[in-house]
Amino acid sequence: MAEKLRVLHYINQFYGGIGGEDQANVGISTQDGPVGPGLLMNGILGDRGEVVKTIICGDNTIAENTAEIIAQILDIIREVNPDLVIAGPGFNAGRYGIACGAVAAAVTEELKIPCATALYSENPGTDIYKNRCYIIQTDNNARKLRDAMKRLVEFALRLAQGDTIRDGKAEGYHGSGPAIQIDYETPACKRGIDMLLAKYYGKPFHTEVMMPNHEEIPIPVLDKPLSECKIALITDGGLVPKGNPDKMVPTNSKTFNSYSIEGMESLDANDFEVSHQGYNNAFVLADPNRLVPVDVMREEVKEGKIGSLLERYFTTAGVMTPMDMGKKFGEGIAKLLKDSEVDAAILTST
Amino acid sequence: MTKEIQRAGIPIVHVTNLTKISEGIGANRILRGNSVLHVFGNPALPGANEHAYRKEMVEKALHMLEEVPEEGKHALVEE
Repeated sequence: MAEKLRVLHYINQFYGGIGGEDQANVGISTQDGPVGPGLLMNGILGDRGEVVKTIICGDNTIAENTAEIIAQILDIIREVNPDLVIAGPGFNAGRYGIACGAVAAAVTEELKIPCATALYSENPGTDIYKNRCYIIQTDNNARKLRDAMKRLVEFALRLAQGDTIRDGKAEGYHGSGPAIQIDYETPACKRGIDMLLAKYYGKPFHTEVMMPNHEEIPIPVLDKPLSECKIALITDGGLVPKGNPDKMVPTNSKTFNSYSIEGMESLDANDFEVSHQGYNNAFVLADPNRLVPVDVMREEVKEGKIGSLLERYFTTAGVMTPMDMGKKFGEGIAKLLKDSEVDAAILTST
Repeated sequence: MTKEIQRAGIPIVHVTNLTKISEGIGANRILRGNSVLHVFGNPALPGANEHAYRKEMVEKALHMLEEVPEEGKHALVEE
């Protein structure tokens, strides 16, 4: 690289060496050059960049007056006019995490200066800001500072160089990152072909459609043998009792429903219909057990392979239904499963 | 939906033909269904055989519910 990038670093009073909780109310201060973890950052930057300014602020101060303090921080950054801004890493520190996210989002959106921070997935700052700026994933523990800082700095350098930034899963950042800036002055067909050619020639390009980055949930495990478990059946294939009593819509669902299967040895085609506009329902209409396998599950209970079957099944039409709605349904169903002491579930998707 | 049920700590098998989507979203026990149109069915088989087919598949799903993942594994997928 021809010239060293000028980097500005944001940290809290603790990392800034001012003090712990007792100093969390201190206001903004600045220092030329690196402070605290900034020294490590400077080492990683090497001859590629240099921390020219450090902004330090008390965690309470910024958490309690975020808008006002952020405006002041932006003024300082405007004056320094760095090539790159890095905040944190804040790991799992709540107020510091929110501060890092707020700084990164404001710098990204208002100053349009390349900027990144790094936080733990459960930091409240991650949830608030992960779709407004780049937040590199870290451990929850600051003992991993060296590793977190290295990944943060390497990512931020690529960002500053205009390198291709892939989705969060590939790059290791939370959420979908900042909103994508699209130059609508250029027609979509030209933008598409430019992107394709850049990709072909191995040059940097910037996607206009970032895939959402889904967080991973630890795999739950049964705490007793299957032969003692109560199992529930769930489907997004839109199976409803004949006449569709709750008028469940066949697309863009707003609700899920649950219906009794009490006394049914198997689902009778005469008693059910499908409210789902997204697949050819003929095979399920002919035999609903193909979607909600009540017939076989009853046999499994009789044979003692499972403890029992929940006497209701859950249903919705999973077509053109936004992810957030699915999340809501899942939360609702999970609560009802817990209330009914269900141990495990099978969900079929068409 | 699957994820929120996982989050609540309830083991769940997602049976679907679109296993890649399921995996991408973050479901962690995934079994490939027979078809988008008949997840637990196979209309090409005569009645009794289809029933036996479904039974085998449901038992596969039940077996997946019992499985304890190895350390560091994010998903159990049966294609």
